[in-house]
Amino acid sequence: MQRTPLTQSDEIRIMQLARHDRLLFAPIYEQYFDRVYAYCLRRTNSVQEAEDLCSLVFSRALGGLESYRGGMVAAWVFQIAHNTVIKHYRARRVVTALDDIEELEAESDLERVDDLEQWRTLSGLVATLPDDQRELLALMLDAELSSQEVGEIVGKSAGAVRVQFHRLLKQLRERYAQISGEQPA
Amino acid sequence: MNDQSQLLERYLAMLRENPNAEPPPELDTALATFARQMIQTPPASNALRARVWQQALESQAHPNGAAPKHDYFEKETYPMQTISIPKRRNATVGWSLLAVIAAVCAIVVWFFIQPPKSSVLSPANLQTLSATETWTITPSFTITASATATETLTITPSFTATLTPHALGGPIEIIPTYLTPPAIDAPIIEITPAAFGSIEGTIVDQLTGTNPASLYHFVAAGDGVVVISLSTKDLALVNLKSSVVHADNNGGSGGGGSGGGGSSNPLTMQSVGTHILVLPDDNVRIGVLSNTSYPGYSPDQAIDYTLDIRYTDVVDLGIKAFDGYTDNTLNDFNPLALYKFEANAGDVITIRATGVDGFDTGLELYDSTLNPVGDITTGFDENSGPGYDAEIYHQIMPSTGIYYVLVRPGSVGFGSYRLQLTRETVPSLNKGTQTAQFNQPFLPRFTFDGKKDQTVTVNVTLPQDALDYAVQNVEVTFEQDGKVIDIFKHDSSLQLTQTGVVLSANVTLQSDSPVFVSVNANGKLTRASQQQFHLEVSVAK
Repeated sequence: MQRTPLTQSDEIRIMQLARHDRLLFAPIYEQYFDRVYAYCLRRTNSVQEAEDLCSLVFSRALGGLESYRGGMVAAWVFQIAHNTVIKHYRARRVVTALDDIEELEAESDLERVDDLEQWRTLSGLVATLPDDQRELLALMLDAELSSQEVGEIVGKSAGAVRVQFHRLLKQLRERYAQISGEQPA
Repeated sequence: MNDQSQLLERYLAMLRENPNAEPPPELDTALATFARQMIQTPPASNALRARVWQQALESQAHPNGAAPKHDYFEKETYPMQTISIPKRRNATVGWSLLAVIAAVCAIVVWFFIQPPKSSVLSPANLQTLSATETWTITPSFTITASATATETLTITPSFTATLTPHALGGPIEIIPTYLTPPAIDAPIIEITPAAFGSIEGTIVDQLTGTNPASLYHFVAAGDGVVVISLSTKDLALVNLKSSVVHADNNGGSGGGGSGGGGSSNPLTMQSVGTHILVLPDDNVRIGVLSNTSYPGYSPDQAIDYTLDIRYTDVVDLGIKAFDGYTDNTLNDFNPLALYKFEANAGDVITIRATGVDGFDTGLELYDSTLNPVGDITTGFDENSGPGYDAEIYHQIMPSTGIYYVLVRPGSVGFGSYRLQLTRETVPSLNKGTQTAQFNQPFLPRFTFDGKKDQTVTVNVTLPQDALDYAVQNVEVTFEQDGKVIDIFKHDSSLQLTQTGVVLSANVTLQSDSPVFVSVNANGKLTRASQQQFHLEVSVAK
């Protein structure tokens, strides 16, 4: 059964209620879990670390409900995710290509990925990028934020985010074409 | 470039709606195909989803020290979308369960009766409804078509409008007219030093059916933080709201949870024990309102409450803000502390609040108008949580002026802490070429004085060692007045065999203000030890 997305006013009201009973945060968790997990997986390339970070993000969200001041809940959630990942990388800066594929298979619904091998190649390619570029990709592709929302999180204008993302994707596409033997368009 | 980048973003949005969406015809086909490949991520299993929720819940310290009273997933089977309503244990109506379900019903109905942008309560927002069906809702807010109801409110309808059924097709609960929100129509009680001795103190008052709201107003005598605490026998019966309008009338919202602001001065919902930051002559309003949408509310029953208002002066850290540290203690009487310091545009500031004996600290940073600064727009510190000390790390100050830092508990409880601010100034290119080591935890950043419409050239020199580390591209970003004004990226011009490369970026400045230049470089870097090289930056006007 398809989950019906919450409207923004639903989210805001739930956030207010959840301050009094954290269990009422569950619909927000439902709404954002997949995106936060995908974001963490893209940033860490490790199933275990993604789970740990994801757990940390939602722990901090639950613990910091009072810090929500209205506005887009997505921006609030991913601000926390962004800060959590930054903290994580400050302690540990090594990123490798995804190698725990068995864990990935155990923890993921791989049938929903058309070409797993291609996905692995791409994730390996992304792993070679600097932190800020992986962050940009994760926020735009996995967190499903707009360039405006990403800009607010990383402290740049929406235009700069959009242009950087476009350049980055184009660059990645060219590198992927080289690896896979395709001719870049 | 801009068109393509906009089209790309639009296509991503389309893909989220429909994974098979066709790209806009103007978008580069190869890029569109690649974007579709990139957007695919293996979704997490339901077991993982449940595990993460469990971990998140367990991490929360329950107010009375006990474990959470029940688990969202406890009685569920996966996938989560098929959650069923827990069955009743016996035929007797459980009043607590009834209250919870009725509250949830009322709240969901509330979603539908809320007009757009209805944050300002007014008589125009009053609505009445009618309906003939019954909603079925789980306590966790997930609405399912297959669930079965266990309790239903039955109320004689006396309504004038019609409510459109929910899109999911679920039956609709009936709510009585008295559950609709009231307009705030109450005389304002002025809290003045003459009447109360100071703005601090405790107000004991009562809400009744005929006086369902109380409004208090005071003018802040100085800058600081005001902590508002509300207590009553059942907090669900009362809503606490507040608003602040800054004296300079700039329309900005108040910091520290005040929200709102501006000429309309709407009262916005706050949590109990909320705080607001105030500047001299700020106008503060606090509303205590009966929660008439709560099922346990009755207009015939008076609600006694106590409103406690505490004020704490701001501590000016002065010219020694960055030399040393400040020790302080938070307790029931001083639950928050506010500090003031000055910084220059471009300063890179790190603020750390180290708790003593396990005290978990929290930090928030605000500018001179009490608006949040930078990355912590939500006021959430990145190190919050057990075992961590709050830290705002390498925050680049957007302008020269006064800033405020708020220290608060990061979780439950109070304690002592040490507050320490450190500052790194940005190397100035006005004095000539600067050298930086690249790939530190932050990007190399420089500044120079700018004039409006002036065209300047920034040269970035990568010596041999940078090329040895296979630097492939360099990105130069210009910022002025807190905004990115241009970005230059050099990638094709770098040849690994060259013995040194000078890259030039020209930019036309937009105002008479400092310009900040940050330099980012990317390469085939495989080990942390190799991620170090130097670059030189100079400016020619």
